[in-house]
Amino acid sequence: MDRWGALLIEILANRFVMLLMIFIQPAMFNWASGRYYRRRNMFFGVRVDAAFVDSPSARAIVRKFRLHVWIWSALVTASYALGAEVWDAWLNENSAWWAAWWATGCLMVNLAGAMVAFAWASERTRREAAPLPPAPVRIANVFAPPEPSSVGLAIIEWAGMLLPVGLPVATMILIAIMAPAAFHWQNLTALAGICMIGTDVALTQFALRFRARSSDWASDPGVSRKRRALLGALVSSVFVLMILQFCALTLMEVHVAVPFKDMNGYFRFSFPAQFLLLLFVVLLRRSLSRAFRREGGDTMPDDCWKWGSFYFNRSDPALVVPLRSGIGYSYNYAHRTTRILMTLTACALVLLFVHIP
Amino acid sequence: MAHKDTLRIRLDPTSEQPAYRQIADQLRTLIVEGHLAPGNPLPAVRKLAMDLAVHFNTVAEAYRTLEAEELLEITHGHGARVAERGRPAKPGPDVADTFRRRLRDLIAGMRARGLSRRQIANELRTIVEALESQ
Repeated sequence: MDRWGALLIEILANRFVMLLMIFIQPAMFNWASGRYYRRRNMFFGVRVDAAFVDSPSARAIVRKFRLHVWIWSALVTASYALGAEVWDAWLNENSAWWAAWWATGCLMVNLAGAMVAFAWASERTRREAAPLPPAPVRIANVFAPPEPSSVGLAIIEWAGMLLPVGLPVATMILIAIMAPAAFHWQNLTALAGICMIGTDVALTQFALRFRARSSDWASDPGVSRKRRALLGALVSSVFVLMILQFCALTLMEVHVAVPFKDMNGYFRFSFPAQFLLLLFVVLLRRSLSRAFRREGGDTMPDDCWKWGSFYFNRSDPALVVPLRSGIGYSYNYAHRTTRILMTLTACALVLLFVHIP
Repeated sequence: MAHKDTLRIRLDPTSEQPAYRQIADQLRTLIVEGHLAPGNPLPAVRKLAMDLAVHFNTVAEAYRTLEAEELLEITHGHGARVAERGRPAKPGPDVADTFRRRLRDLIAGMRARGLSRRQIANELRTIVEALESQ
């Protein structure tokens, strides 16, 4: 085992580190998405009177929400430890293939629990907050100025659209040309799965650029475009690095020329790249957090928001809208395109699951 | 005349009036009052629909209504433009009757919703003054 690979295995094999990673997931999510339960006149994704946010009732909702999240997190962490102990699924050099799925699954279940707690808090806010003011009148400029063009932002946007799909496709072509004999079904399904995830990311970037309502993100068209491009970059940069690493590993597996001779060389690239990505995400998140805090929230009727974070509006042509709380976006789940995206994601997960053995 | 950048369409989702009718009425007002001159392009259906968060068909229906009234010209591939209009034919007595009836209905509706007679009179006076200054 080479030095960097051994270090990674050592870190993941440390049971305490793994348990901590699962347990602090809600805190990480809270950090990554800003204070996701409160933003100006929005409380858990529900439009409320500004006075409600500081009321005892609101404080009780937050307290209960936090309690739910951390109790759930403790339960999931305990279940992970118990399962890993009973089925010998601790992550280490000799662990079974499904040990990684057990860890990933627990992380996902923990996150899903936090979302259920958010939905509960959102429904309780809807019940307890004062009657909502009617949805404001929507206004459109007949001669609205177009969004200004910017070469830098265009590069970010198109990179976010092309790289996530282009990298796995290029890998497939490279293998088909240089090592056709090594192109067996396992590599194909895995690359197809990665390609589908890449398509999801690319379509999200496309939607943020071309299928989003400019005024939802900022009143100034230039600021709106910049904000959407940066949010897209935040999402796509994480996935592009993940896809790049996956493609490099696949090429190494089938012995097609890659810049890395062995795993040590790969880790020498992968660790600094992940560190730089983390730095990029932290800086971008800080800047977006400030920007999102300043904006007041959307003008859509409250009925369009289910459980505070899922947007359903059949008549709205926008495919993505900013979240009512925290940093980020929601797809318009009433759209056919969103259903296609969800199907792609499900197919990708199945394909990747099939590939792992 | 208002500056082009300030011309706005307002859509009230709580109104009893259908969205396409609200859009058509406001565009008609802008055209008839001269804020939109003949030949002026209107925003693309997709753009306006996106900005107002309504279905594309809603805006398309509003444009078709105005096209039927010969206020708009819709050309495939070029979008909608304000039409060149000749002087309208002399209106018959029924037009004035319809106008009077609709105005009275509107005023009654506004009074029922709590607007005082003085407020309504002030609004009407403002409209008359704007009309006379055109």
